[in-house]
Amino acid sequence: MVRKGSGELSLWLADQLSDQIDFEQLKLGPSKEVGLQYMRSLTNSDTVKRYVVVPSYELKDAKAFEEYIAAFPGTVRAEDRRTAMEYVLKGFAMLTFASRCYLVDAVKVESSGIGEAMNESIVQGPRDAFSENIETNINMVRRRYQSPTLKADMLTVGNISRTTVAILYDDARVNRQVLREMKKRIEAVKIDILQSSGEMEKYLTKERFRVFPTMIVTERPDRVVFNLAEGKVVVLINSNGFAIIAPTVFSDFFTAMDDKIQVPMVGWFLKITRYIGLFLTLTLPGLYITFASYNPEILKAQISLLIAGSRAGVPYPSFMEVFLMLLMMEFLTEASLRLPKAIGPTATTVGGLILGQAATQAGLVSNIMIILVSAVAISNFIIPLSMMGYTIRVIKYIIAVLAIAFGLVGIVISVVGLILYLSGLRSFGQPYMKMHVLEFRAKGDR
Amino acid sequence: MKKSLLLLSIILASTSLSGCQFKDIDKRAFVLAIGIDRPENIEKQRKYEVTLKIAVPEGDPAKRSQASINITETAESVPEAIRLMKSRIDKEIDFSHCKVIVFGESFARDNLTPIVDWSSRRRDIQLIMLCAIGVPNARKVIETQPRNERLPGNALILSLGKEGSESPFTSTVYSFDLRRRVKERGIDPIMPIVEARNPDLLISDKTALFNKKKLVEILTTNETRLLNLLRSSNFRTSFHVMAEGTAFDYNLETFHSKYKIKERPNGQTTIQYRISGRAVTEESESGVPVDAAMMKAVSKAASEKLERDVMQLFKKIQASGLDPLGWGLRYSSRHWNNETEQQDWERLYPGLEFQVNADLEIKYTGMIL
Amino acid sequence: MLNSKYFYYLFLINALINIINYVPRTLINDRFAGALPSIFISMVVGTMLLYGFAKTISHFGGKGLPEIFAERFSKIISLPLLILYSGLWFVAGIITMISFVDITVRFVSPDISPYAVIIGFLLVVSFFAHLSEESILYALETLLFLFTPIILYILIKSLLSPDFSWDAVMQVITYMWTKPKYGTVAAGTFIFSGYFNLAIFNRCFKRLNTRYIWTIPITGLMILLVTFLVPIGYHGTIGVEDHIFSWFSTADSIRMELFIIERLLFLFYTIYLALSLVSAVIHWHVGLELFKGAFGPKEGNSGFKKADWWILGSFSLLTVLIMSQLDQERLALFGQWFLNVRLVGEFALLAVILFVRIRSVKKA
Repeated sequence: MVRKGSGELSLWLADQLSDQIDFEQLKLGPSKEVGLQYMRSLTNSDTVKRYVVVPSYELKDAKAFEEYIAAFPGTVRAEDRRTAMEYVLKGFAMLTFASRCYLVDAVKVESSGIGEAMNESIVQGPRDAFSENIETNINMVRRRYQSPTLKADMLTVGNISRTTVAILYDDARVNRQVLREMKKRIEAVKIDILQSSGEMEKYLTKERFRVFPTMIVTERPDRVVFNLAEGKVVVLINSNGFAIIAPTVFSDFFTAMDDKIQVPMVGWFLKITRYIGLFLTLTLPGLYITFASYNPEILKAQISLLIAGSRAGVPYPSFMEVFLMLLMMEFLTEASLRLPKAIGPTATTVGGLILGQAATQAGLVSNIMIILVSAVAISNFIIPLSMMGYTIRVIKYIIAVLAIAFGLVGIVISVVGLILYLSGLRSFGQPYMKMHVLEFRAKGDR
Repeated sequence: MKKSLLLLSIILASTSLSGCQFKDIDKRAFVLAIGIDRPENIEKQRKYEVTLKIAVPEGDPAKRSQASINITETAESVPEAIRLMKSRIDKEIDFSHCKVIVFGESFARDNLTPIVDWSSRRRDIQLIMLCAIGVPNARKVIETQPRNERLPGNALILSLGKEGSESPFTSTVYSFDLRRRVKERGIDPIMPIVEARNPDLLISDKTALFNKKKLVEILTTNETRLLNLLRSSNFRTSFHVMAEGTAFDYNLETFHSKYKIKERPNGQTTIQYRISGRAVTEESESGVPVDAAMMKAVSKAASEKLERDVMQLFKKIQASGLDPLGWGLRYSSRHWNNETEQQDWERLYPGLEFQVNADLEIKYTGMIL
Repeated sequence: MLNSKYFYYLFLINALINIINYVPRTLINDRFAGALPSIFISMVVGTMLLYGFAKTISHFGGKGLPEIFAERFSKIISLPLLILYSGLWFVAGIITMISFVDITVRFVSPDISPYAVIIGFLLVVSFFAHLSEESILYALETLLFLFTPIILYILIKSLLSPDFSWDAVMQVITYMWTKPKYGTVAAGTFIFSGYFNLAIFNRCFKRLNTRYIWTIPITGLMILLVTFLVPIGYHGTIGVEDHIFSWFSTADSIRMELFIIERLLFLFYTIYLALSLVSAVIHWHVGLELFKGAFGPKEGNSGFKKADWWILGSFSLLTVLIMSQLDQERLALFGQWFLNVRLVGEFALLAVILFVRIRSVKKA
C-alpha cells in the first residue's frame, strides 16, 4: 500500500466530491493550515463545531491540534483513498494536517423524528419512514447508499413557499434522458406554494387526462435506495415525508418491499397473487352483471341457479345492485379512513357487518352480491401502493359500465383496451407496461 | 376532456342501442332437460309432444330445494311447441343450461333427423348436451324425480354423464357426437336407453343402435357393457367367470382394445380385435384360495369368456347391418382409393369375419389369497 | 429500436387469428378436393414470401414502406401502391371485426344489436390504432403472454379427449393426393401473412434478426394442420361442413368438468375476441400509416391528429356500411375473396420491394 501524501489525499477527496451539494470544505486554525472536509447531511455539525473547530483556534499551533485530534476517541488515520472516501461517506469529518489525515467520528444519527412507515407497512425489514426534514431524508438515503456516485441536486420551487427540492440519482447508473427530462420539468413548475410530493407529482406529469400514476410516491427509504440502484431518479421535497420515484413501470406498483425479503418462491407467489387480485377486483363487478343479465349460460348450471335464487327477491336489475353496493363500499372505505382512529373500526363494523347482513335479510341485495363486494374490496387492498389502489378503484366502474352495455364483450373490450392504453403510456419516455419477464436476448440480436 | 365526453356519450348511445335486451337471470326459466315424443293419440301421430323440465330458483339458497316444473305441449314442430309454452310460463324460456335431451322410444323408431338438426342449429343449445332414449316415453323420464335429487334434473344428468356414477352400462353420448354419427359415412349413431320405473327410479343399462335415421336394434345390458368396453380405454367394470369349477368375480383395472381390418388376397376381410387388460379378483365364490396356478386358470377362462361374448356381440351387430363402432370409417381412413372405398366397404360388410384375441391377466388377488 | 422477437409475435398473432378470417372454412369446404396438399404448398409459398420480404426489408433498417418508397419512387407510383395496400390491410381488419360480430351474435349475445357490438369494436380499434408501433407491440406481447398458455391448454384438451375421432382425421388425410386449388393455397398462406405488418413495423427494427426464422414454417404448418383437422375430429368428415364457424362449434364440444365454467366455448371466445381486437388494431395501424405515408413523409410521432381521425372515422363508417350490406353468405364470400386477392398482393409487394432493393444495391 502506497502512503499518499496528506495534501494529495485531501485534494483527491475534494475533487471526487466537489459536485455534491452537501460537501463542505474549510481551512481551520489561525494559520489556516488544517483542512476540514465533511458531508453536511451526514455529519453532525454540532460535534464538528464543538470538538474540532473551536479547539483548533484555542490550541496554540497545528501540532498541538493534531495531537488533540489523534487522541480523540473513535478517530481513524486515513491510510488510503478508499478508507478516506468510505469514512467520509459514513459521516466522519476528515482533517488534513501537514503530513497526515485523520477521520473524526462525527456521524449524525437521525433518530429523532423518524417514524415508522404507516402507509406501506411490511412484515419484516426496515420500518423507517421519511421524516419531514429534507436533510434528514438525504441522510437516511445516504446511510443506506454509500456510494460516491450518489448525487443530489438542489432546486427551489414555489414563489412563496420557496420549497427545497432535491433530485437524487446514482450518477453511474442513471438514465440521462430521464434525468434531463426531470430537471426540465421541475424547472418548468411555476407555482406559488408547494407542500407535498403528491402535488409535485401532479405538476411533473404532462398529460392532463390521466388515470394511472406514472411516478411512485413512497415514504420508504429502502424503496428509494432500491430504485436508485436501478438507475431511477428520486425527488425529495422539504417539509414532506414522501419521495417521488421516476420513471416507473406498471409492475413497480405491485412490488412490496417484502418481496425482496421473502424466499424467492414466496416472493413470486405473492406477486402472482397480487395480479390475480388485480384481475378480480377489476372484473368481478362487470362479470356479475354479465352473468346475471346477459350470459347466464357461461357458468355451470348450479352456480347460475344459485345466483338466480339469491336474486329472486331483489326488486331492481343486477347493475343497480352492483352499483349500490360498490358505492356503499366506497363510502365505508372513505369513512373509516378519515375518521379518528378510535372510531374507525366501529364504522367498519356497523357498515360492513350489520348493514350487509340486514340488506340481504331485507331482500334488497342478494347474498352473492355481498360476497362479491367484499371480495372486490379485499382484493383491491392487496395492491401495495395506495396510489395504484385508488386508480384501480376507479377503473372497475368503467369496466362495469361497459359490461352493462355489451355484456361479456364489454368486459373483454375494456380489458384489451386497458392493456393497450397501459402499453401506450410512457413514464419519462420509458415504456410503462411491457413484459419484463420476457426480456432476454436471442443469439444474433443487434 | 372534450374527447372523453365524446367517448362517454358514444358509449351511452350504444348502451341505449342494446339496453332493451337486458334480461336478468331471475327473469329466465332455465330448461334443464327436454323430452320429445310422438303423441299417443292416433290422430296426432305426426305431431311432436315436447316436455320441458324447468328449474325454479328458490329465494333461500341455503335450502337447496329441488323445485322444478314440467310442462308438456303438443304441436306441429318442436319450435312451435316451445312458442306455445312461452305463454304458459311467466319467464323467458332459456335453453342455455339444457343438459339432456330424451327421445321417446316410439319417436326414435320413427325419424330422428329433424331434432338433431334443430338442436345443433339453435345457438343456445349446447353441443355437449347428453342424448338418451326414454322408455316407456320421454315424458315419463323427464317427469321422474328421484328423491335423493338435490338439483332438478341432476339425477338424469349424472346417470348419463361421466362425472357421477361411472356405470359401465351407460353409453355417454353428447349431441355433437350424435350429429357426427348421423352425418358420417361408416359410423352409426348409438344412444343410451333410460327407463323410468315406478315410483321414482331411473335406470339406464341398455343401448339403442340406430341407422342414420331411426332406432333399429337394442343391445342388452351385458352387450351394452361390452360395447362400452370396446368404445373406450381404461374402463372399469367387473365380470363374472367360471373357472376350475368355481365362480370368480374380477375387476378390470386397466383395459385396452384395438383392432385391425385385414384383407386377404382371396377377398375375405377380417376384423381382428386385440383386447388386453389387467384385473383383480374380487370374489372367489366358494372361498378357494387363489394361488398362481389358479390365477392363470382364471385369466384364461376370463379371456375365453370375453372372446366368446364379444364375438356374439359382433355377430348381432353385423346381423343388424349397423356400424356403431365405426369400422367403416376405419376402413376408409386406411384406404387411399377414395372414390371406390365406400362401395367396397358396403360390399364387404355382410361377409365380414371377426377374430377376437382377449388377453386378460389377473395380476392381483385382492387383499387375501 | 426493439428486439427482433416482436417480429415473431407479429407472425404468431396473424397465424392464431386465421380461425376468424375464414381460413378453416375455406379449407374444410375443400377437404376432399385439395385442402391437404394446399396446406403443404402454402407452407412453402408462405415461408418463401415471408423470408423474402423480411430479409429484403431488413436492409432498410428503421424504415417503413412509405419511407422506402419515398426515397426510390416518384409520388405517381408510390401513391396508388401505398393506398392499395393500405386498403387491403384495412379490409383485413374489417373482416376480422365483422366476422367477430357475427360470431358474437351467433354464440354469445344473440340479444345485443350487431351494430352496438361493431361500434364497441370500432371504438377500441380506432382509438388505439394510432398508438406508436412500440406500444402496440408491447400490448401484443402482453396479450400473447397471457393467452398462449390457455390456447395450448385448449388444444391439448381437445386432442386428448376420447371424443376426438382420429379415424375421421385419417380419412381426410387419405385425400392427400388430390389437386390443390388456388383458393385453398391462398387461405393457407394467410397464416404466414403476419410479415406484411413489417411494412410499417419495420420502423422499430434496426436490423431484423432472421436467425430463428426456421421456426416459422414449423409452427405455421402445425397451426394450419390443427386449424384444419381438429374440427374434423370433432364433427366428422361430413358433419363438419355444416358448421359456419367450425372452431367455435369445436370449442363448444369440449367440456371442462372441473371449473366454474363448464363450456369451453366461452373461454375460447374470450381469448379470441381479445386476440382479434389486437389483430385488428395492428392491421388498422398498418393501414393508417400506409395511407398517411402515401401523402407525405412521416412527421412527428404519435398523437391525436385530425387527419388520423378523418381516416379512421371514414373507415369505421365504411365498416358499418359493409356490415349492413352483408348477409352470412356474402360475408363468407367477401372473406374468401379477400384471402384470394391478398396472396396476389403479397407477391406483387415482394416483387416491388426486391426491385427497390436491387436498384439501391446497384446505385451504391
